[in-house]
Amino acid sequence: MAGKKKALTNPASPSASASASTPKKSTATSKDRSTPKPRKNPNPKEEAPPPPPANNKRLNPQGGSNRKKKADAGTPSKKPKRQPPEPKPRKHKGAKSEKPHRVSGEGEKPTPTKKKKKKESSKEPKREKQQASAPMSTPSKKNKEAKRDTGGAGKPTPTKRKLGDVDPPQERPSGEGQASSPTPAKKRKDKAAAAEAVADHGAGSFPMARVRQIMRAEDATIRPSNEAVFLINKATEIFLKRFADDAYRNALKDRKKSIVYDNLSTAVCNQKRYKFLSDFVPQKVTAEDALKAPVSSQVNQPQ
Amino acid sequence: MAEAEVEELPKAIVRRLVKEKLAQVAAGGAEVIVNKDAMSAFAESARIFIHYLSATANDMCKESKRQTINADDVLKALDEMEFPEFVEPLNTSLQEFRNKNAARRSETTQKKAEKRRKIDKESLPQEQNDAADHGKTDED
Repeated sequence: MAGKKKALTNPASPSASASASTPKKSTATSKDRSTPKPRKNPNPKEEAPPPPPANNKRLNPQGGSNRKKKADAGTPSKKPKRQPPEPKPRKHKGAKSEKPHRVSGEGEKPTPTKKKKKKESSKEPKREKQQASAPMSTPSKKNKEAKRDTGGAGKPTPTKRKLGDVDPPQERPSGEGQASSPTPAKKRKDKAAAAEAVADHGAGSFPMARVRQIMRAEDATIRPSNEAVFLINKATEIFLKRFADDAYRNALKDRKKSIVYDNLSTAVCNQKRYKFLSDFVPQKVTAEDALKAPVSSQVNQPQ
Repeated sequence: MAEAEVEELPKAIVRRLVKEKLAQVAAGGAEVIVNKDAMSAFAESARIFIHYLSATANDMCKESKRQTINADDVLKALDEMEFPEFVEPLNTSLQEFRNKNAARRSETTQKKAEKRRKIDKESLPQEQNDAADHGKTDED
């Protein structure tokens, strides 16, 4: 138990340092604020019922995967916050919304599973009504999942519930699978109609946070404005469509109806504008040719 | 922690964009099958495009002795990268993006007023929450 507490406290400090290092990003600070809360909350829960270590080990990776999924799901709700250039009031809003969630968290502990379900249903409209409260609701979800994990008797059922909980937010932003692709498009159109703005041109397809992270992964000194991130988001979308069109034309030249890797590499080699992709989408080389030319093989390895 | 991991674009979104374009281009509306390797190459290409575009825009930004990349830097970068045909549709999208922001600003002002009212009402329960937080910290 003590070791677990220490492990929990250790990651808390880097998150605090991360928030200190990047004070300018209000969204980053909000994320850091939300993360330590669920970490602290499960401590008393674990103490009260002493679960066996094997169960804990099994539960840990599930929690990690859930967190990742939540992070992905959380991105679309955060977009509108970032767009208005007023970071200070955002922080205040976050601070205000924190307290009521804590109260609700305390109330959830003694209640049985049925009540938990009801609370879950009640929280969903809250998120819809107030976008500002969306990031704060995620730690409460984590708390619920932790409680379910502690219940050893009902192991299979909580996993199903988790999947059910996670699926709807995933579908909305990403539109997984071919069958589900039309429904999120319709939803987006409805939202656009409600907002009185054309969603096709006004919103980028990729999550803004993800694009920003990719931009900063290579050079941390890059400081893009929201408009710049949006433009790069939109440009990437147009680039993908253009690249797909060129690959399809190459497929037609080969008289085939499917696109394979060679069509992409051929497009990269033929057109000058795709030169920056030559190191990442190279022509395939057979093993024999690679062995015959040791220098070229060394070049191919980093590719 | 997050920076150590290589960030990837959501493959479902990449797949959806590619499929939409192919559905438009394909004659007769027949579905075009995309190989797994090809789809991975599309996702990787999009990520490299973002790196290349952001680096070029950053260079534009530094030339002007500024530290924050703005929309004009991105548009100039596209010209330098030999994608000038992207500039016109991006300008249209940018206008709509700005209009959206203007609309949302008015909404946020209304929300602020509502939250100010809530603060006055919740002043008492906030004190109770503070006491509860202190109790939790003592337990930890």
